[in-house]
Amino acid sequence: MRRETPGTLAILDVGHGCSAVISTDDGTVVIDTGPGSALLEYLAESGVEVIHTVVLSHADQDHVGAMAQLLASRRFRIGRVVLNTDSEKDTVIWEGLLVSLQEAANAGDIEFEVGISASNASKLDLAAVKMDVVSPTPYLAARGPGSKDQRGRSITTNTVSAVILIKCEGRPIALLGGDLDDIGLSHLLETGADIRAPILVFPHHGGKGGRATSARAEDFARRLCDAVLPSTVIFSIGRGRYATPNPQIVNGVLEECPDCWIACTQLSESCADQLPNSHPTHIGHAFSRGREHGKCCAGTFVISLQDPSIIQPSRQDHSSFVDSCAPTALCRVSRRYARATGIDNGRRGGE
Amino acid sequence: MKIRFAADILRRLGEELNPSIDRGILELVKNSYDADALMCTVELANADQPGGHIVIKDDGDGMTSHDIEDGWLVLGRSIKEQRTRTRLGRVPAGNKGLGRLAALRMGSRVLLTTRPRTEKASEYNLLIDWDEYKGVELVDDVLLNLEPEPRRTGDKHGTEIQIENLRSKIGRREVKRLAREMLLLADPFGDDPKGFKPILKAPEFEDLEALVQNRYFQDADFHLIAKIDKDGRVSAQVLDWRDAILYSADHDELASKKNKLRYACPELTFELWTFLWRTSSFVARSAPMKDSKAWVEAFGGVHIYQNGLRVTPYGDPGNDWLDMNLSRVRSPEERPSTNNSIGRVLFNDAGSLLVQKTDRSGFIESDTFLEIRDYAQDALDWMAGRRMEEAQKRREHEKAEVTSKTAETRRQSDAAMEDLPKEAKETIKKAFRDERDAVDKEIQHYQQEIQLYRTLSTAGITSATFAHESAGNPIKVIDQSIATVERRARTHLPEVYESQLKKPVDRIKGATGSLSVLGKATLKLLDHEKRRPARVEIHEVIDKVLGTYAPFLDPRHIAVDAQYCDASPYLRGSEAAVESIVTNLINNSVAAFERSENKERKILIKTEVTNGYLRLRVADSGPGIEEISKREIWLPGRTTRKNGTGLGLTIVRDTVKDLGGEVDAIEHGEFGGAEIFIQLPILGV
Amino acid sequence: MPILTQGRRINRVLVVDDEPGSRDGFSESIEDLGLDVVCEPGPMDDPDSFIASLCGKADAVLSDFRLRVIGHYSNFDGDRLVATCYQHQIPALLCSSFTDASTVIDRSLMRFIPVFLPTTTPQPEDIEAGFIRCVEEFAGNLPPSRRPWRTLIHIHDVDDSMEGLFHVILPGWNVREKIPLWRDHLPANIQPLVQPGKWLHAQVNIGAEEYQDLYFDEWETE
Repeated sequence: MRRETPGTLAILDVGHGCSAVISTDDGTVVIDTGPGSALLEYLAESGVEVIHTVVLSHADQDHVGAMAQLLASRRFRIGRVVLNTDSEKDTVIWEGLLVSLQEAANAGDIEFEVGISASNASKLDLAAVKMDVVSPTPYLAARGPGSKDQRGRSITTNTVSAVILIKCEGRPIALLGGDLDDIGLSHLLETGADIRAPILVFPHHGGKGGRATSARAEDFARRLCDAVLPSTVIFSIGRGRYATPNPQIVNGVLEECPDCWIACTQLSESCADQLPNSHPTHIGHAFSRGREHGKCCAGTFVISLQDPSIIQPSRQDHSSFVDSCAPTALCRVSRRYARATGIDNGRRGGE
Repeated sequence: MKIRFAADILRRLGEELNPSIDRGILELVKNSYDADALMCTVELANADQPGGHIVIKDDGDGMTSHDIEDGWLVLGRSIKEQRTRTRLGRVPAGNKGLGRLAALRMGSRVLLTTRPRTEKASEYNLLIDWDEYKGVELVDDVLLNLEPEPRRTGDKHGTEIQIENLRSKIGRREVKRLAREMLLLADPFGDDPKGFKPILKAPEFEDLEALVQNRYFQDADFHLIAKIDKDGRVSAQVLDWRDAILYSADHDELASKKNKLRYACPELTFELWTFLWRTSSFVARSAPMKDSKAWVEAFGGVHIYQNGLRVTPYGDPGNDWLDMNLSRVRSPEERPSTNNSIGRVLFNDAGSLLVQKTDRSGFIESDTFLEIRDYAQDALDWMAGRRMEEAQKRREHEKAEVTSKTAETRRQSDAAMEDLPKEAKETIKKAFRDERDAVDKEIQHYQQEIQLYRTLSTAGITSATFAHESAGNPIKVIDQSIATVERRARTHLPEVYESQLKKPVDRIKGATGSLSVLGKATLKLLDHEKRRPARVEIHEVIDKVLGTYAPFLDPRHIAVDAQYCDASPYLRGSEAAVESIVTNLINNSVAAFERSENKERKILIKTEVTNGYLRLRVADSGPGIEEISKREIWLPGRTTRKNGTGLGLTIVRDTVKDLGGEVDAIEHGEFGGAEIFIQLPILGV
Repeated sequence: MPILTQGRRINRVLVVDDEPGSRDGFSESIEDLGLDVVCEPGPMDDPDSFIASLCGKADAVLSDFRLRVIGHYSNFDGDRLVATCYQHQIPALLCSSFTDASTVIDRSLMRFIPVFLPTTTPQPEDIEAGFIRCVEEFAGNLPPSRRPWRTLIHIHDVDDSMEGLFHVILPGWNVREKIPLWRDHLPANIQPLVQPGKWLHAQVNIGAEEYQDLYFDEWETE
């Protein structure tokens, strides 16, 4: 029996980090866990006890931290966990996670699979919901972090971060960017894959990344948006950590997609140096980590898989919050900047 | 119809599946253990060559004809059906498996004699001649005769198995493994009347015989013997592995801490054997380290014997009633644990001073019991104290040895010089003297420097103590009071407040703010976490120092211009090291401004990264390096500031050197004042 | 006027601090909230007799962290006092600007300290919000930052430069933060397990934003 709506995709406010949950009648899939208790709270609140699959895009703690919690909490049954090899990663913690996963697999509690790349994209599918892995390319996955690519550029954990295009009944819903960096993006674009999607969860929380200069950061955002053509760009950030999103990145997004809706899970300090006094009313009902301390900008996003333009919170509510509570909002300032510098509005036709 | 087995299956199951002889014999010993034997003798006669024989004899419960037919002769029955404890409360050790078959097939004939405990007058004999199986097709084709015989008077219950005409010899390696495994079944002290006492008789391997007899006690590094006499007075001594007395103490020394006249408990002896298993000190001992380790692992802990009977659970695995492990965790040096020590408390209790709980989970914790525990712990504390003292002495001795080594080499080189040809002698002697003078001077200089550092540390510790205090009381009271004044004045006198009170209130708040920030700054420098080597992000450290210093620099109108390169350089070292470089350079500039007439006070902090090095430049708008050469600024005690320590830049130089870097300076740099260059190797950006 | 929440009435607050001047300072903040104040003059022997003496004297408590600087005032610190109040369902706040509080505090007690104001000059509205928060927790309404989750704990190091101090990392929380803990704050059966590299489990509120707010409770032996 199918519900009228095929389900939802939630982009969780986990603070600095990433986690997405796909909920359908056929089961629940988690893509990255973020750190802390946000994912656990969201799942518990939604009454989820069984998780069909957990996909870990790459080995960074802000994406996999709560995996250890999922196992430790003993509240959820997990079907399988899928991730990529990373021999470079912070040894003890990554090792600890892998050991607990193997132990859980030995005990028959989970299936533990290694290897996600564009080559075996279909294995993550859940009935009508398709999860196409578009990056890393098999070449990058085979080289692995710590090596160099054919042009001598360093491949890091971020380079091989999984990027997943979620489609429902053949229709693109969202591109989850993981922590993709400019080298990973170059390899992805060279494949010529069609990665257009109405929603883009921007890679690496909109951070500049270790090696990127300001100009390269902007260029990265432009190249990515040029390929995805999103109408909504989400930055999954934590207020007060790492000064995300980077203004040049926001600029780059707006130059390519001047009319798109830019929204962050939490309220960046670049946008408002003070937290709003009043309790947030605009954010949706789903668990948001920032809610308790009033740190949300848009909080957790819940997107309909039937119609990805139906999003909680609504663009309108979020906009009025930004107007009243974020005096230096990057999505506004940059927009004015973009307009002032004569970017051709019509070039992308607003799509 | 049924499945039947070819006779050859016995060979396959016995010899081929279980080739290890010692495990086979051990299986038979375990059978004895499970039969509640107190004694079990394994005799190896001429076993070091083929044709010898083995006798395993015990005083256990023996077997009835039923036990033999449905138990002993059944091969491969699963182990899981029998996990209940035996009559004497032992956990069954045998696995009733094929190991026994392997052992029985070691010779060409087996003779079993058994006298069951439950049938006072019977004895059963069974002969298995393996040669008979060679001539038949199926296992069932050989019929065994169980011959019941009347028991001779005086013969006690028990079982004896003779394996005759061994097919192959039993080597030293096998006997050793057997001896080791037998020990793990044995009562550790060998004097529990209900304990299991295996005996190995192997004339060809006398030392291994002795091992089973004596256990590993003689390999212990320390043997503590602590006694309480009938008057409650105590004494203790510690012996080394040769039984020589290392330390001893009388009542007054042992009870000194608690100042006890007597211990209120029965006469008793507490013994503890502690093993260090230091590779260097273990060479002379009899058994390999891993054997005695395994044994102590099995029996470690302190057991209690009341009237010669062991009282559980004291000394069982996991029982640590003296909290030895906890004490060891608290101060690991020279402390025994249940993993490296085995011991016992023995006492006779004619009355009933100590009563066991009805569920046999130990003694009721009466005053007497607590007193016994107290005494045992006091004795352990005393031993730990003596061992600590010794360790301390050892370290001091090592230090002294280094000095006397210098003297010794000097004597040697003097002697060597006397043998030189006359013409060279004087020149070389003089060169040596000069060199020695220089070294001595250097040492003297280091000693002075150490003294200076000690003085500064004391100053630091003292100021930290005060910083704690000022962050606490007086400032807190001022803060609270002014907060009340502000709040109440704003409510009750809003206009007056704005026009007449706000300014002084803000002034007080600002001043207490700076005070407590400065106090915290001192504490931050002393945060011991920073002294641990780790990944240090250089820009982060500079930012932290500048943050801490801001309330100090702002009132002095000193502006800092931090220009960082577009990267995040990091190195491995202690945060304290990098912090002390930055702090001392800022201090240096701040001091320079006091000598300067320049109105503008600016400090430039600039970083650059080139080829795996970080270049840090700190320049100020002070008077520059004057009245002193730029080489001298790095030397301790050289300062142009009265009352300065002259140590700041020396610390910078030393710290940079420790991090593998270099220092340099120019008299008048980018801002007109001194400019210091630091180059540090980094791990990455 | 009294605070009324969840059918509970807070009318009189007891202020605990070893420094008399500071007791007055705290009192004034509470008075400005319209509540009555009594000051604890000391000496206090143990938390339980403190609770017994509280009966009828006050409905809530505000305590400083360090209570043993000035002699003959208390045998224990504010963390223990506030936690004991909480366990007896008496609203209690801990206040301190003591720099090292977050390092030396007993993190098993933090479970029972819902509000730790890092200041010595709490505003009246903060005090009111704090008491309401306590009462909410008594009614079972824990905010996400205070909810316990069974959590994997990695013993990062045992600090040999300071007796009894060790650091843990919570992979599920933040791998970059090493959290200082003290061995003697742990239950006796857990203490011997504190070895570098060990993995343990306990209940931790990993929804907390800052490490200062974390508590560790119900440690598991294996």
